[in-house]
Amino acid sequence: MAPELAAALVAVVALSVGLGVLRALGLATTPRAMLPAAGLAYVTGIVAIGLPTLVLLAAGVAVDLVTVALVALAVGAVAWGVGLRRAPPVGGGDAVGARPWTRLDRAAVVVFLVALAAMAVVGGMAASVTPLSHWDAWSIWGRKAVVLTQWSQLPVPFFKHASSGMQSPDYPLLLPLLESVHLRLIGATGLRSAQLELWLLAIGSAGAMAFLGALLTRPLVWAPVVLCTVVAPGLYRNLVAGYADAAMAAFLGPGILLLGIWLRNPRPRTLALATLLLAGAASAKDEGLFGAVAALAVAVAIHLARRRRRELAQLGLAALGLALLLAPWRLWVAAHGIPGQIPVGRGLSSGFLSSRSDRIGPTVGRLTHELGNRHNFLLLVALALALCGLGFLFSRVRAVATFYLAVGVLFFGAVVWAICISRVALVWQLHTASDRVVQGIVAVSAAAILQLSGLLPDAGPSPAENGVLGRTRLRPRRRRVEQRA
Amino acid sequence: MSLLLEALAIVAAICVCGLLLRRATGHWQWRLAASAIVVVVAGAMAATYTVTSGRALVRGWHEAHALSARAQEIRAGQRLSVNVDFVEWLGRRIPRGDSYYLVQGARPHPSRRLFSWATFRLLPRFQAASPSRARWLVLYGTTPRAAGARTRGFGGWRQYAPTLLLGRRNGS
Repeated sequence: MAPELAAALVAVVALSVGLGVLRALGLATTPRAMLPAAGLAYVTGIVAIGLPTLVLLAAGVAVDLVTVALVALAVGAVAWGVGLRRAPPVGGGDAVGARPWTRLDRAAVVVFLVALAAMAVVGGMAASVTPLSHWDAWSIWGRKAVVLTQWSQLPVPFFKHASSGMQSPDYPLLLPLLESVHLRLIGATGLRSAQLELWLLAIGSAGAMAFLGALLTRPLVWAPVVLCTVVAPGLYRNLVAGYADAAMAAFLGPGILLLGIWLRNPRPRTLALATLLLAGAASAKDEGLFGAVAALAVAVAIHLARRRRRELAQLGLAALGLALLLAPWRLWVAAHGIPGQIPVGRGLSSGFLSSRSDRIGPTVGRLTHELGNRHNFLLLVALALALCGLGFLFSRVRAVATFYLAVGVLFFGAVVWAICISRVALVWQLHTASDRVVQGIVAVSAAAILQLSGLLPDAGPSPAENGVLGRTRLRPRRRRVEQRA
Repeated sequence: MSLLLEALAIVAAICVCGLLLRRATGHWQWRLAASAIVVVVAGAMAATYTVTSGRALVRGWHEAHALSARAQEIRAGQRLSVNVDFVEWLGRRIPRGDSYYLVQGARPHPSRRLFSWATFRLLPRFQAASPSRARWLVLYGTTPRAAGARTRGFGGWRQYAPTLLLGRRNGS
């Protein structure tokens, strides 16, 4: 089968399953709502098929194309069965999406769709022929994809023994599984065109961010921000080269944005979809696990401060779901004594950490330099930081601003920690990976921009009157207003 | 530092925009001010980089499109200066699923690059933990005599080049 046909087949199957999941969750129930939700449905479908398949793989079941098709059929049937029984609910998200579009908004949507389609085509062409020539791309991710293509079960010796050449054997398998399905479909054992699947993930993720962004702010605002997540050189180069970082961010961005939406409007179905996508990010790369855990931990902290038991219970279930989805692979790794690249146990001991403290300064400096590199990430992180800073001034935005800022900071801290405790030489690691490991923060930033730009107060009182500068300053002004009245 | 400066510049721009809007309308319009700056910054970036990134992708496609399927697959090995043709030659001679052991000569010094590339390209053949457990012995940059005790039990040497050889376990 031609690579393009294989990618199209995977996309159609993922789309069908994803639309079923969205319908079951009540997020896209009418045919009219399904078309704009196609991007979200695609990334959801990939996760909804990929995670159960990984569970089967970890359980020792032989996984080939038939198994993946059966999993897709089962998940799709259950999702569509539940979805078709569900009564059509009211549209989700904040109310801003209900605003009528102006001419400018319509123009922005048209330009966005044309640009996204053009990027999808040229990026797809490039991804389908670009050789995997970067070390991690072929030695870690490509090797795993080939192993999953050549064997239907996980060959333990390959993962366990260093003599097999397997690098970072404990890294999760969602993306290699996706690539292996592609390779099986085209009947190849080499790694040609497998990056096409990663590229489609990024396009699907942009569609998902656009769909969610439309619930939060006007097209004139979300369209350029979402487009930046596709055309940013730091992101598209990563995808075309066959790395996993930007592909992980393709799940993390919509997942974090859904969690941010849930913070404002705590409906269980939003949280359920957020958890699924966060589990996808965590199953794509270890940094995704950092992001998923950080997002849920910050959401818990915010609701603990608000003392909202119902939301905390929802979060507890979400954390349980995340753990259940991620446990099989981690248990398989532990059960077979597969060595990890990051010495987590030692990395938590204060003595070891203090011995590595000289690595903190250079790491923080290099990573912040990368995040501020406007030629790579197009000022997305700076925009998000500015909006978070501004969001702190307004009481109605503060929780969401805190959420994004704290998730970003925790993610950054986790990456710094992982680099500091790594066995790899610092200079080499910063030189080769510093622009890649921060890509999750760029995804969090894009989500923050989309939500915060639609949340800031409009045509209202001054920041002081909005709870900006603390209650002590509010009281005299209120008193004067009352006296005047 | 540049990240902080960029963020501060954006905050300042939003504040100035907010002040101008307040003068014009009499109200603080923070959402409008922030949205305007987001549209300007992200719009300018998106417009610029849609063109440049699109061109770069088309250029990349042109360069890679001319390569044959095989050239695409061995590009990484060539960049590592590994003798990729020898590794492909091995792949045609060692049956799928068989085990092998790679012995590298002292000159050039044993290379992780070669080890990684060979173990990758020879999949689904797997490298054994020691020569005694392998069915095939690959000599890269060395000869059976120079490799010494590690070649014990192997024979039927097939030569690709004077120091690039493949041996088979005797009696297998």
